[in-house]
Amino acid sequence: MREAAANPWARLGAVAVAFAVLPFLMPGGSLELNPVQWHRWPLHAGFIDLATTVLVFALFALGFNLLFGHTGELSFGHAMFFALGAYATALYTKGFDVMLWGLHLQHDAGTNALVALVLAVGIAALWGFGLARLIVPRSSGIYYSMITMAFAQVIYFITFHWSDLTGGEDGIQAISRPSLPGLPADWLADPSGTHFFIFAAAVTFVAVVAYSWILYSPFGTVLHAIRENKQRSRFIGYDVDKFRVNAFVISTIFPAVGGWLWVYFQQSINPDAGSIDYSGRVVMMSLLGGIGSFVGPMLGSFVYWDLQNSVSQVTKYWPAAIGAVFVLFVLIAPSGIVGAFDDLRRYGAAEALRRWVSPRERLKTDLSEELPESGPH
Amino acid sequence: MKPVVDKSVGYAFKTEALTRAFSGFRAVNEVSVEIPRGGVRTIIGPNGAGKTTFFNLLSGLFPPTSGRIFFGGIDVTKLDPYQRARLGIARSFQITNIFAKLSVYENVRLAVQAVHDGAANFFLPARRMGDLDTKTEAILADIGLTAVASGRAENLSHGDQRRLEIGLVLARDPDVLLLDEPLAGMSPAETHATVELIQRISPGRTIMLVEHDMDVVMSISTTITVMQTGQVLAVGTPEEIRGNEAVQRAYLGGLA
Repeated sequence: MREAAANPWARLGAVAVAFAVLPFLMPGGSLELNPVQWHRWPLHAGFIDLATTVLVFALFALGFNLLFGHTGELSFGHAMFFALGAYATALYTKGFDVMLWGLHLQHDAGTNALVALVLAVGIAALWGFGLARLIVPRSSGIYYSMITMAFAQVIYFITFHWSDLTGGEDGIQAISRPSLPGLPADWLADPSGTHFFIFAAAVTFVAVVAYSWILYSPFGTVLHAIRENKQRSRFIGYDVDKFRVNAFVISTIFPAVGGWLWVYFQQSINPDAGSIDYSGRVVMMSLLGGIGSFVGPMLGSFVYWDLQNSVSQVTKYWPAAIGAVFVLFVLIAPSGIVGAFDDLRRYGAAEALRRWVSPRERLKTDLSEELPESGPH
Repeated sequence: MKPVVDKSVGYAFKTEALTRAFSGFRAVNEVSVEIPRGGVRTIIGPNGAGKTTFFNLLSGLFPPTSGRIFFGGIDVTKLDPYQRARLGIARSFQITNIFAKLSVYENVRLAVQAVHDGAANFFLPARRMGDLDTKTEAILADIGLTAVASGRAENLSHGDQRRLEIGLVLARDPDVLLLDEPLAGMSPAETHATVELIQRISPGRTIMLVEHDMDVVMSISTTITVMQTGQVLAVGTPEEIRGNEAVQRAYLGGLA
């Protein structure tokens, strides 16, 4: 009678295995469509770095999807939290010395990665909290998306125009990677990128565990209730707006951690990190992978970067190719890759194929899922 | 600070000059009534009389234009629906309002969990909330949906969906249940089962009904309040209402 909850340990184990094999699933320096390239041992820097990119954006997409997939609210400005986390880390690491309205703001360069993380997450979450308190009681639906986008533009233009602090369009360069306790000082700077990938995988995995904990807690189930029916949730006694604010704040933390990793990984940052393009990319990744599913956004990040990397080697019009794949998924399997696999498992190949091709068929199979007769009342 | 409902107060709801206007039109117009505690209190009236608006005001869907609402000695006029739900006011809607995409079981479990989890605490594990499953299964048995609990709520028959909604509002063990046309669109068998359910859950609570099925209204109501054009026309027992000439003219049209 209870919903059969998949074993969380099995799910996390699968994620760990996926992270471990991730570098072997990236197309390398040439266009070889064979996805598993065992012959590329030892690891090639090109795809190890791509794998790290996938992880950073997986983090970003996870946070976004908590809001979009699980709470049903589309933020079209989540890149602002990625940028806030990134710039907080960059500025802490590099230091700054600026005047703001007669105030002298100054900070000497810092080296502690943990302090940077606390700053990145703290600033993003604080900004997110203030924003959510402002937006949540006043808007939902399309207005919610538009307001989040507008605020993201505010962050974007600050990073773009406040050159004294942010370096403007050029951003901040030559950010050194931190040293980790118990490891050689230059361990993360390993030129093959392997060490940084291991670091990123560990961080991402910890975040995934936290995410899983939150999602499968009673709090997570209430988010689903809110997604399905806000009014009913209120009338059975949930303080819906408070849940929406909390979900928003949590959803800012994961992109902030992503931004923190991204700065150390790229060793530079520019305003693109907070652009509409980045906000849109994460929407695309979530839809590609499957919104509302646990692994969907991570899978989406993988497919997006894998596609981008392979297609961009044959044509400079690679964004069109990604757009085409995106459109294909929205039309054929709106629930993304994860949803398509669900269809295969539930209906078998022939039936699933019919569902993908024909929306009418989709409706028919949905309606025919009948319930057992309810007993006498 | 949670206000305490005073159960010694003789009324469930009391309204003072309660008014709700929609762009000038007064759907509920200066209604001052006391709904006594306990029993089945039915509101009838022609379409557009303001019955559902009155329910919406009592449950907090929207605030009144003017006037006040008291519940068990507390002024609830400005409280949000979730706050009213926590005080023990529960309602079902005219158009079935459930979590359509979730399973029947999950629907009820969410309502049971709402009793515990007010604080939006995302670190609270489920096991600290007491035995949610036992209570969920008890409610499912009560509303007769145990056999279909694993199916999606949207796939239930209309009557079963209506009953599921009653199950959702029962989870909190509310003092007052506002049921807006719970029998609308039901087959005779479903009507019978639902009336039986309402009678079964009524002891110890106040049930407020908006209903058009006159046979049911006359047989299960303790008192009937007749509304017309946003105002209360008459209050009385079914016999008194049946014999009330003003009511006959305005609404029953000689039916009774």
